[in-house]
Amino acid sequence: MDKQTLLSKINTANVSSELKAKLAGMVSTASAVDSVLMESLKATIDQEAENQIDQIAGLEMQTELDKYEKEMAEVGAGVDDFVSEMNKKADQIDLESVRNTIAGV
Amino acid sequence: MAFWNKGEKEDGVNLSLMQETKESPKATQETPKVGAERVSSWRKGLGERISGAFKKTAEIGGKLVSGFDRVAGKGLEGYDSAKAGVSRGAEAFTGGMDKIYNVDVPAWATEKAVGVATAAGETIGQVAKWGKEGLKTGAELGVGAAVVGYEGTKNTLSKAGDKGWEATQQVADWTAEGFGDSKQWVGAKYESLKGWAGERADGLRERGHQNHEKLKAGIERVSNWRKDTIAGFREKGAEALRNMAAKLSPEIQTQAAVIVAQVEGGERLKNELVAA
Repeated sequence: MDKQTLLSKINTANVSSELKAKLAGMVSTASAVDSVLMESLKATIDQEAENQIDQIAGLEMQTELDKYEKEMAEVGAGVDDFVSEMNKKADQIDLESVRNTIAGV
Repeated sequence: MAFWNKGEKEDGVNLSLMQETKESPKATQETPKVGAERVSSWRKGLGERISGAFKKTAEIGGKLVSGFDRVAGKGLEGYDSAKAGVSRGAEAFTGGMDKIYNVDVPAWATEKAVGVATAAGETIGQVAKWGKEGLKTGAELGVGAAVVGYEGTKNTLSKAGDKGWEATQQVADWTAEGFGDSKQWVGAKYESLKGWAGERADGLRERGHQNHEKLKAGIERVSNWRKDTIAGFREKGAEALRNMAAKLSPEIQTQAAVIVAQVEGGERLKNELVAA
């Protein structure tokens, strides 16, 4: 397989444009199409696949975080309402009435 | 405050997603890691988001704590007010005693006693003018008048004392009653508020706790998925990834499908290189 055939296969492959550019660069700068180049190309493809698995895991993790943040925002709003209501109720413990009761003595 | 106060953060959670693992490269030393830098940056971003989420949870817990502190302060303030009322009652008690014994009643009683004694003296003087025989009668009358005056004064003072005692007793009763009512009233209000606040706080805390546990479980699950998928990929290639992708949540299936297709494309290209 010559360089042109290799480059053609790389360009028509259903891989990311980033990986295509990387592989094409490796082929272009290689001194010859030999087993060393082939192994390097395969290793690069494998490494990218693992990075893509990481990427999927990251997407899943982002989904979990989105759910968490949404739920915690609701909890946070609930806490704000609660504290506000609690303060109002605390204010309703009308200390003035207590003073008046005792002042009546 | 079960989990907000424990200081739980990333403890016990497998955060391998956020760590720069060194497990994979089978490539040669010269092989650059395509996209590795981008993934590393992404992991860092995820780590920061998780850390921020835990901080947010801690802030929410802090709001609850300060809310409780304020209510507790209100309760104490109410009791202090009731105590201050008792002090004022005690002052009224003392003032009432002074008024009864030192001003009104003794002056009135003394005046009356002096009046009786003066009248008796005048009678004695008059009788003396009437002669020796009349002197004895006059003296008896005078003494009798003095005795009556004395008894009257004594009775008046005694009654005044009784009245003073009753009045002061009443003041004391009112004070005690007022304090008791006030204390009970404030206490009931405070207990009611505590009960209400406790129920609301428990609900919020439980909701936050469950969400927190879900996130921990999610991190663990994704971390295991990643680890298993990489192992499966190394053993069986893209086919393993396709099977594992089916276990992902529906929310990311579309995005994941694009990535899986690229991995499969890479697998096909690799096979063509092997065939060549």
